[in-house]
Amino acid sequence: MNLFTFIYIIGIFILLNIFEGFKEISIENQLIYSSLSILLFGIPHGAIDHIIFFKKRKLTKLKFYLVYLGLIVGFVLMWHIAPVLSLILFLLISAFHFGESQFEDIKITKVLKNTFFFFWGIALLATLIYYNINELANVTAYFDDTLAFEKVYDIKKVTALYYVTNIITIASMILMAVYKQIKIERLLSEFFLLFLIHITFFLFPFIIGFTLYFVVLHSLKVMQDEIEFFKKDNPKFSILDFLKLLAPYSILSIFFTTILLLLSYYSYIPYSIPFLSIVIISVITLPHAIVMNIFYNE
Amino acid sequence: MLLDIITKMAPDDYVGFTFFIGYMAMAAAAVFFFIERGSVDEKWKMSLLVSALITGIAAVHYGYMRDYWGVHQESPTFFRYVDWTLTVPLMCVEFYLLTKAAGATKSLLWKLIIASTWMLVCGYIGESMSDGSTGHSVQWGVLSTLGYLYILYTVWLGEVAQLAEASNSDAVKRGVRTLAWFVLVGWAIYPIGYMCMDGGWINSALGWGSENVDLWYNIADAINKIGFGLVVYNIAITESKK
Repeated sequence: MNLFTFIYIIGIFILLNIFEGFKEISIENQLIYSSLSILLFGIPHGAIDHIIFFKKRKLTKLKFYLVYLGLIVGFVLMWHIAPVLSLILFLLISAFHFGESQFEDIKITKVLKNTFFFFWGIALLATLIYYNINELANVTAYFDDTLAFEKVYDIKKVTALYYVTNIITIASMILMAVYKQIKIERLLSEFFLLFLIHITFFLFPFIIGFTLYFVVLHSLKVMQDEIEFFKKDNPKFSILDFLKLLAPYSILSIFFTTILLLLSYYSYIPYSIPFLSIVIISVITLPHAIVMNIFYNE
Repeated sequence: MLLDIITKMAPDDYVGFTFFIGYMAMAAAAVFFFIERGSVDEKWKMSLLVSALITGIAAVHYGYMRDYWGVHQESPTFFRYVDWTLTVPLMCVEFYLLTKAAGATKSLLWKLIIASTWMLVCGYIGESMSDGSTGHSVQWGVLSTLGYLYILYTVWLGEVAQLAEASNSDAVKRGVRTLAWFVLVGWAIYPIGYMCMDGGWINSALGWGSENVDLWYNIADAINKIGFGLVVYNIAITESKK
């Protein structure tokens, strides 16, 4: 068990006690606390992509920003033209990114590694959707612009995906241990973590379960990897230095995200808040996942 | 005599079944650890004695709980907590004894004992002195959980983990890590059981009845206490053969 699993367990106990006390939390409160957590931890973990990129690759700033912003604009356009396809693409990119950040250290061939990242990530997302499909269906059906997403949350497809990807993920981890690519203790830790993730997604509402995973097991873990990376250049690099580094970019990102959400709230933008949130997160995720792929591979 | 009072044990009375099994298994383990003290080096005798005490104390309480269950078909909170209040701090003593050679101090011992006692006393107040309000069980549940999390942190990431890592013995390193798994997985059943009390939120979420709690507690107790002792025994034997 590492520090993040420990924090995750604390999170589970806190939430269990909260639910024991209040039995249920209104969707408004769930959204407020989850959004705050994602804004405070999720956005900062990708706020310094450009700094990480320039430490890894030699590219002119103009070219980098053109590509980075080009990807964002391109994905926004894609959302406008083909929202369902965009959602599927977003889920696949996220799946790969989640898998990669969790298993970046395993030593197997690149093709096997990338395939495993996909399966682990898809298993994670399929599990999240599988346990909360009714809740998701209700939210999706509530807004006009998210209604089309019902095709993605089809119960038969999700159930099949849930079983297939979880079985393949577990079997792959066992095979990695058999062929001594990971230690038995790592295997047990990963099984335990998968079990915790299942329990969390099963017991808690969709948004709460996802936020707990995203903040603790993903964002904090990636931020620690980033700190370790900066420490290689400067052993005195501290958490405070890291916070100073990411603060301006995080504040800017949070500011513009909030503005966009407020524009949607006051109907200046013809998209609902859930739809807009997914679009914003996805267009940030696409270039971030690419930069992190370079970060972990080189 | 017990058999004069109990007229029938139903074959599907799994809680009763595990009370009988638990009682005999704990008693057998206590005898085993006590006798095996003679097979290990002097410095490991205390660890095995503590293991024998843990399972011995549990066997006595399981004897009471078995009889109570046989007569009343229920298990009072009282016996469980008397047993845990004695045995859980002793399990914490094992961590101290195992890492003593690597520099564990008395202060670590006391911190673990206090944290485990705190965890159990708060749990007992939460479970047995309930006024029926959710606020009461949540409040004492949170306080009790703090003790559990402190022990969990200490054995996985804190002082115990660091001392085991600094130890020259691979058996101690592996053993302490295995015991840490017991604390993480095995002990987690107790706070979860606490949340499965009558009307508990987890019961509602999983559709369980509170009678399942005793079954889980019995299985968990046997695995945690006997398993814990066997890990300590394995370390002691391995180190004594060197």
